[in-house]
Amino acid sequence: MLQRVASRFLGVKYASDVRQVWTVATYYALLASMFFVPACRNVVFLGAACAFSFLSAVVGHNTLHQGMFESKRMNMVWRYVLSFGGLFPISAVIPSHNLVHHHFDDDGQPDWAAPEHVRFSWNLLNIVHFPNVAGPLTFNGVQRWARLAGKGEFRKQYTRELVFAFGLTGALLVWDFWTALFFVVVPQLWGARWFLRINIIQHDGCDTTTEWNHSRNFVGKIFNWFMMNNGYHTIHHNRAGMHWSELAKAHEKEVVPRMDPTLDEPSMLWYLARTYLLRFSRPAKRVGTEHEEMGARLTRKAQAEADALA
Amino acid sequence: MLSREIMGALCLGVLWVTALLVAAAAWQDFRDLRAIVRRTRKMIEGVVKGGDLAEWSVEQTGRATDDDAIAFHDRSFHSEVFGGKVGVDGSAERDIVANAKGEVWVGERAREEAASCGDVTTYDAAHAIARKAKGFARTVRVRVRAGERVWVVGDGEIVSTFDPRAWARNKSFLVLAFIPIELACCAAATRLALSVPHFGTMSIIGAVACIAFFLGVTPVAVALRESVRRPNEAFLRTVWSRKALLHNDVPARKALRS
Repeated sequence: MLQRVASRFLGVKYASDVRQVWTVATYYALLASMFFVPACRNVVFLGAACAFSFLSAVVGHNTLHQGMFESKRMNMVWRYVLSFGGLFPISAVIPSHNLVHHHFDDDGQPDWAAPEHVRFSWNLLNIVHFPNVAGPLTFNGVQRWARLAGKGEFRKQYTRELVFAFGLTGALLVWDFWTALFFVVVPQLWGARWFLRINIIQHDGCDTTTEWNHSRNFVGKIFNWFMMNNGYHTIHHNRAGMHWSELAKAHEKEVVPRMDPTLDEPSMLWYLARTYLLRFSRPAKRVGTEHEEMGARLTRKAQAEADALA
Repeated sequence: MLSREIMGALCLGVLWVTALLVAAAAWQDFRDLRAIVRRTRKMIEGVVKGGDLAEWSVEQTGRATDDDAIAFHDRSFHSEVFGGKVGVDGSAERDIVANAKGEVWVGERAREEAASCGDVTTYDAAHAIARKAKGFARTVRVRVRAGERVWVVGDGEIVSTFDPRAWARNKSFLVLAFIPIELACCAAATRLALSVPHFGTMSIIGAVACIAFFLGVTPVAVALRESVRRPNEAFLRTVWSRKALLHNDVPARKALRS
């Protein structure tokens, strides 16, 4: 009931999107608390701000798949809010994630966020270093894509988001340099870098040429409540237009009967510990067997490209 | 309470982990380049006799841009060593066997010439297709022909129109030079950030330098990494600009004006 009232007040399309607004509002509240109240500059607040910065980027990801608000203008304003949160223009997600990552392919070249871009023998270094490679590759790719004909609106929005994110952060740095650096910029960069790292977590070792085994799913209930169901990654890739609130059911119905069951991980923390801390080497890549269904992905790719170019 | 000292140390720790990882990744590239240098111990240099020895090609898609140009994207690279004879030391001839997996390295100038537009008529025809969703598909090919000087590594594993050993050496020195320079920049920014009085004006300038280093070093490292890609897979990514064509092509410009 309360959620429905809040959703009407906020003007969001789905009542469940109130959770996304709450997530970003909590993140901003944490940043403001640390910036203005010295007593809040502690491990608990900083840790929470870093976690909510990442969750805010997840909200950005969801929003760029499907505008959250009824109003187009509000959706654009929301992008500024999210851009400041991660200190990067959130619209970059459209080419980098929607058009390239979802197909694991940049028109014949590897996905800008493919796990193969890092190749240390000690696997822990791969996850730590991953954003250092995927970040620049992504922004170079976005620049190339934005140059193409018909992307004028994107370029304007991207520039405005860039100016807003860096402008507001710069203003805070001028106001109180050390507080802004330690308690605003640190959480911003933490969120943005883990947003890139999630790609290696969800796909490293998976066979991205397959229809159902290209992704790793994290299926913990509490985890998915905070993550807006982004743990259910296979179904998200295959049905990019599906609202996040419907992913859990669709995962059970469509993915579970077809996927390699070992790609369902009950806990991300346990997976991270097992893969990056409790072993030295990188796990071997799985090789899928269901290539005959690739036609479906090619159809989806053609559709996504047509939508993007329309 | 998280003091400035604790947070400063934490941030510098993250900065140095990043700097060291970037250096370690560059070292991986250096190792790969040295491996090429080692492979070139078994290399011959000579002149192609008879027909074409090898071919390098890249499939590209060209898409129109808003500034009246076509930007080409490299889709996939192909190399094929057809096999043939290479004249070594004037008189001796060496047979090079066909190798479908061999790498063909052709010079930058030859690639650019093969990828260039030519004239405005060609541009206009391509531009009409490049404006559509599928883009303008083409294959840029460079053949290693009779009479050309070549370097052949192993049994046609690499066929190159320039000295692969010199290339790999130059690139490896470039990467090797990057590592201490990068670490020295990080050290300089750190030194500035640790200026006395701590957290004073100089320290702020140092912190700004640290942020600039943190945000700037990774694009530089990625650019360096792309610049040392093996020549058979080095990005070509040509841009055809109508303006540049008109600037260079006086007859075409006159024809368009009339």
